[in-house]
Amino acid sequence: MASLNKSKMNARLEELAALPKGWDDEDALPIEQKVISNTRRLIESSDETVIGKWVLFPDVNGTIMLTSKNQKGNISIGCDSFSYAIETKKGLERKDSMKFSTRSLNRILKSIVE
Amino acid sequence: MARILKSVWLCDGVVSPAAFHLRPSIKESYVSVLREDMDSFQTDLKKVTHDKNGSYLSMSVSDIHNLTVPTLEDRVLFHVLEQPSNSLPSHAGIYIKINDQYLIGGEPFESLAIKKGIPEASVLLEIKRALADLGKKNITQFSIDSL
Repeated sequence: MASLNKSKMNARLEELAALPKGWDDEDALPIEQKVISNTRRLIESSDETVIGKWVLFPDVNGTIMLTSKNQKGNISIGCDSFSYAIETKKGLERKDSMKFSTRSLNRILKSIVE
Repeated sequence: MARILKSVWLCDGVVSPAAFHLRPSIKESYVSVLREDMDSFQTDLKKVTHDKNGSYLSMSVSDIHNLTVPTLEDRVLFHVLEQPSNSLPSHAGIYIKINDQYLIGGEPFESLAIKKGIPEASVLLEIKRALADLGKKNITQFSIDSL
């Protein structure tokens, strides 16, 4: 059975990969190739249902932001690291400059409160 | 108040916090919005929209003024000021204060959260997230040709 959420997410990622310099009509950078490949790895390794609860956005500094559909979490994916701020059952969890790891990121994607 | 959304800032009905970014390149000191109650609103909307199909977030002035950021210990206040110009009579700005200091794009600011080790970018993200969350249920999509 086709992974619709993952397919949709990958299609969105391809859109963001094609953004040129100045995509915000100002001085935004294109998304870094390493950021694209990191995000692709995350999508491929994620749970189909969980990834469907998140959307992708470009950020002006060439990174990608994952935002939860209930607006309770944001994850910034960089070339070698990631940062996040999410509301979990235990309260707001926030960390900066974590080493990129799909395992860590998948844990965070699942921990968002509904 | 209508915050115009670039197409990349809206996905599946979700608004990117980046829609409320204060640009460091121009030391931006407010988030530009348009007053929906002005006669010139639709004309102004057409002037600032670069896509064939656009969208905007609607936020009431009272909701903006009452907005808080409970995830930060800092005192964050929002207020709206009318800033009409000859080209955009309905233009206004959302100003953001953190602990009595106005936020300006790219400029450092004092913050309890930063003193506790939270990165400046994370503090700004919480503020932008609060604004994005405020308008998320009031997204209007339009076609330039219909204005």
